[in-house]
Amino acid sequence: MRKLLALAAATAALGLAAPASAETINLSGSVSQVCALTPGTTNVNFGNLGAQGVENPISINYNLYCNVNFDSTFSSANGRLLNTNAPIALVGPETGAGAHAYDGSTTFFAALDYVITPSIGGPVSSASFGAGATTNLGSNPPTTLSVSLEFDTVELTGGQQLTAGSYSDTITIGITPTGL
Amino acid sequence: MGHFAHSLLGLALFLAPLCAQAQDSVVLEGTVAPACTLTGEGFVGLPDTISRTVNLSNPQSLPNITLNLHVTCTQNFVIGFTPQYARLENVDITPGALQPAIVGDAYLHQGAPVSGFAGGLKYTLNAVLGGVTLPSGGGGPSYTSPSFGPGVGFFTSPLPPMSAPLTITFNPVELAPSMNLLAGSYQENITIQLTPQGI
Repeated sequence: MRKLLALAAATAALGLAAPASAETINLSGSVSQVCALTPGTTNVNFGNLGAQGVENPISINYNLYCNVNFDSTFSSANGRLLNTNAPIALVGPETGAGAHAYDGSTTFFAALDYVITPSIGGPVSSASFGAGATTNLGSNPPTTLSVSLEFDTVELTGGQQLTAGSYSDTITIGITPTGL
Repeated sequence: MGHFAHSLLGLALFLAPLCAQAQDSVVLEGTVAPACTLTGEGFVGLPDTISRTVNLSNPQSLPNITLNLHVTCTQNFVIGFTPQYARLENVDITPGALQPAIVGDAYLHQGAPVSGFAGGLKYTLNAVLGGVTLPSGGGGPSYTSPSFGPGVGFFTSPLPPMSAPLTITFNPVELAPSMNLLAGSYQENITIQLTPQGI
């Protein structure tokens, strides 16, 4: 009988080595992807350019927010301020001999370069743009940024004059999220 | 002598020596299996997992999460908390592109920390068992990730058998006004372990 009791006690002791119990709490949440350049569309109106494109610089402010990596691109429709009333075939090339000239004239011009000066970085001349070409500005990290852009025309010199008409260009800044 | 009478005699002869030792030969036995259980908030078995979602839409004003649980342990026991990430971690970020939890929560772009954005969100875990705040290994009443992780748990010293409520509160650490959370899914898994220690 004593042996039986000892055996029972040993069995109970083995039962003490119970396994640990584990429970898991899963916490989760999500953050939506947001990439925005505001305002989305802005008009820069120089008003009357005068005979030689003299005007006051105009600054606009942008807010850029992107909570993932992103690629950015830049393109200009005309690569310059272009007289939209002049047949494009009569307007000289963007650069080089006869640049911007109207119908080969050395006095009258149908296009005007401009310069963009951002609050971060150096000025960029439209002379460096290729009309319609898209420039890849590279990959960027997540960004929250306020930036101002100042637009100024490159005035004609000497006896050069602008032909009458409406001058315009459209700049497009592209932002493409690429993940993390 | 009939068959019935013969059987009675045999039983009497068998019981006679036992009756002489009756005071110490009747043994009552039973066992209670050592066990710890955690119930409440949807825990139904062992092991089990419950999920809670944190609204991260405004990381400058984050709600707390409170879990009202119940612990029953029939032996002394140790309770431990082990986090997987020691923060709410953005699991969409390419491995290696987020600072280790013990360092910070900045996103690394080409190896350099990006200012203004975080890919992890710290939290404070506070546990109250039977009305008593469980002390942390660091000596405080609560502990803030990542001081106890990732993958490194905090375990109490042995506690006595009890059946008592366990209240766990997670307090996400709000971001500074100038900070933003990177887009993506944020995850944390905390394992609560109850380990019997014997009597």
